[in-house]
Amino acid sequence: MQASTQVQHTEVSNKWKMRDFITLAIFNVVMLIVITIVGMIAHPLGYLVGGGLTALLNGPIYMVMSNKIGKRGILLFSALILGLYFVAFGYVQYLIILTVFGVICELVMWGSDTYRDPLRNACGYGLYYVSYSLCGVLPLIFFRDQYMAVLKLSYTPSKLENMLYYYETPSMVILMCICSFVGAFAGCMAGKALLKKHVKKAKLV
Amino acid sequence: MIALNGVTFLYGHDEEETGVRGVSLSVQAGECAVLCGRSGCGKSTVLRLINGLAPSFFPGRLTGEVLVAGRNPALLAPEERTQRMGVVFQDPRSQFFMDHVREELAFSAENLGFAREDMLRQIAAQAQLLGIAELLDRKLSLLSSGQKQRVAIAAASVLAPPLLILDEPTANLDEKATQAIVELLLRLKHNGTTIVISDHRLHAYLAVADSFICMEQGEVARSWTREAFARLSCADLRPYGLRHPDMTAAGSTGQAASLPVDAPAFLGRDLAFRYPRRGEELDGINLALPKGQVTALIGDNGAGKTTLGKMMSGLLRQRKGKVLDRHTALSASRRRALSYLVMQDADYQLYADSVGNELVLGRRLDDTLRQRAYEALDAFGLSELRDRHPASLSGGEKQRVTMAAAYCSDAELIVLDEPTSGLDADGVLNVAAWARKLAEAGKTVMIITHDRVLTRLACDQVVELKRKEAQRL
Amino acid sequence: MPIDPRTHIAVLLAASLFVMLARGAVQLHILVALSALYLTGNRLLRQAVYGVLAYAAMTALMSVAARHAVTFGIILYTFIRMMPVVMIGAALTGSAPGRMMCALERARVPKPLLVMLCILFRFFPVLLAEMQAIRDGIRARGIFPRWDSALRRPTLLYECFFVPLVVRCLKLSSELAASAELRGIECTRRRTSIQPVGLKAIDGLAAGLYALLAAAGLYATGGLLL
Repeated sequence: MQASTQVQHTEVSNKWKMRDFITLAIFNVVMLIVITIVGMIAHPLGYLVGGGLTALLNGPIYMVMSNKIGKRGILLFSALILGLYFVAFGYVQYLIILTVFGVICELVMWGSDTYRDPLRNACGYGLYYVSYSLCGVLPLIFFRDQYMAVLKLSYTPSKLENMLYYYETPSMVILMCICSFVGAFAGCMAGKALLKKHVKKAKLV
Repeated sequence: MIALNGVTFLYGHDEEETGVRGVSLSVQAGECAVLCGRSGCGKSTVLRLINGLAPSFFPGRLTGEVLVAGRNPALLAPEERTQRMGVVFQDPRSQFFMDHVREELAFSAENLGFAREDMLRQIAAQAQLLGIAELLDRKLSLLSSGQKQRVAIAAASVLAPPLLILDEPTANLDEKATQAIVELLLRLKHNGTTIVISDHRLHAYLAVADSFICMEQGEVARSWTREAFARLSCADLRPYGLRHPDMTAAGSTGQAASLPVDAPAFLGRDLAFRYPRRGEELDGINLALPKGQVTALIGDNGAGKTTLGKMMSGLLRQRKGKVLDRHTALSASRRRALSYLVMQDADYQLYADSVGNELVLGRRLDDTLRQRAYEALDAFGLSELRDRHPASLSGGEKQRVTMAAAYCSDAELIVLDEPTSGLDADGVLNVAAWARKLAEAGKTVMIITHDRVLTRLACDQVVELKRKEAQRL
Repeated sequence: MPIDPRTHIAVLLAASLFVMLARGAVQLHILVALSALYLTGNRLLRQAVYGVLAYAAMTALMSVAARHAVTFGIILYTFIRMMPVVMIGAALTGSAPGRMMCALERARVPKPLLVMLCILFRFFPVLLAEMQAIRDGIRARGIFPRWDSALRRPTLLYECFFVPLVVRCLKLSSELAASAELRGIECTRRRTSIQPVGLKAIDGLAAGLYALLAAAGLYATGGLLL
């Protein structure tokens, strides 16, 4: 009987396969769990640092995911998933903001094999978390009137003003975005170290 | 039905040439073949070749010919492959996509776009055939492991494929559940399904298997017919590393003599626990774990063995009753401080970047600890693996690392949860030897297991946990 | 009269819109009541009751807490505003994933997104359980004996979570993907479902009724913030 030789080449393309989507879904679920836990604890006290802290914790997990999949579109799809998650809580506007920023992130990650480059990843991921933070600020900015109306029933206006100072003044918002970016950047750098120490050493990816 | 001719498959690229070489085997239609061999011998690779995942899903170089019902499985279209073969994996956690049993059974058919009435009819028929009709409306997360595997087999066979492939289906199951699975396979075989199984526990399949094919280091070593295999003694199987119900260690088992009444021991008095949602309950448990000895905790799946193990080691706080060290009551946190639980899945408990670091994790490295670590590396055969990352090791090696870490720790009570599931014969004998080594080092060892061989080889006393009312399986 | 998952999504989006327009406690009460009604209509009475009870508890708590802790009040208010939508979301999670996948495919949602949504729904509790198992594993090994040991070595704690989590996630992804492929996920034929899927009159009725009642209710009790 003639033996037929079947040789397989590994493809390096930007085409997503089902297994990439499944990997994306599983890792995003983990990151969503972290976002939910930190969000419940830090909100809205840690508006300044909440985003940064989440980004720091999720950074290494994101790094593993992006190294495993390594194809263009990771940040956009992750943004979509996060946005859809928020839709379930009633925040449809988050989906819009996150999608827009998702596209911007993809532009930042333009090029070949950028998802395996730690520095580029850090930038793209940083931007992703900036958009996450901006989302968090929106209800308080847009629905200030409603919030004020209800809370005015019980507190003194001055106390309230003091509290809301953080969420409205542009300088505070910018500071929050910076915190998120820095947290994400640090998370990615920590992720790079952990990736080398564990994932690459054990040849998991 | 299945024919492999001179097949060589090597994973990955050039450096590590793992895989199978020159494999030729055949399975006739309607027969059942069992693949066996040591861990890492290539059984899973052969299964992957048969179901076509190698080379399409697992990249590698393939030479030779693989034919399933005359076609190359890797070249089949998705619809064809799904209808020609059903595959059941070892871990139910990662093969279920849905919440409820009925939907899980329907998943393959839904993917293929079958008509609704046909699907419902087929599901009902298959559930009837496999005896799971009463489980159809239950939630998957509330089923026992045995029930989950039966559902998995039903889901894989709902489209009545002519070939069914099972990869270590009984690894996590006790004897009763294993019997139930074999029963199921018999029914499917009577219907004409060809079955290929890979497993370590071989004698359970005597009722359904027609041939046993043994692999060694990527090649086919021997094959036996059912009758020939049944006649083999433990000694005949030893060189191949296969498990046998009569396994004994090379030397004596060193059972301890019966103890005086007031010997030092960890005692559990009138312990009770209940999981709020699942309704599993432990009540009025009395238990004595003599120090420096190995105690086996046996009982059916779901009787509460793991719960009791977690209680004794302080991971769970008991609702009633006390745990005592001789006469002093121990709080849950105190118990946690002096015990060490080795979980069934070693992946959950390996954190460091090398085996050496894993053994001393989290502690200050002084000379005594260093000495102990070297001892442990030698005793558990890990010296060559010292600098390897734990996550790159095989299942059996990972198990060794967690047990070596237990040896190094200061814990007095060591609980091993199902340490031999998925291990080959060498693995089982090693676990028995190390459990005794831990006991000789003065630790109290409690092994939760449903493996009778391990119980016989390693344990000084056996405690059996029975469920109060029998649940319908 | 099972309502199609697409209708649930439409009602969910409508509810989001109405919550955005709502101001004042009374309007939120109306929306929560409507959500409870919707859930009851879908035979999810238990979820409806839980939702209403949770809402009532939080509202009561807020009027008490608001006096003393402003930030706590703000947190509560955010959750309170989420309730009407979350309750509708319960209708979505209450329907079978297979049914949802089929319905969404008919709405031309691409297959990868279907699979991802299915995994999101199904594996959220699974991965949560995995993280708890990892936590148990850490406690079982006694790496952090004292309550403050973990605080003193946060990087080690993170690493102890990170390594098993990554190993499990990679393994899970690989096995799921293999299983999905073998069960025909890549098949190009149209999906079907063992549950009835299809937009019928009842769907339009339910959605329309919800929108009407919500708009009317809000208008009557203080106008729509438009």
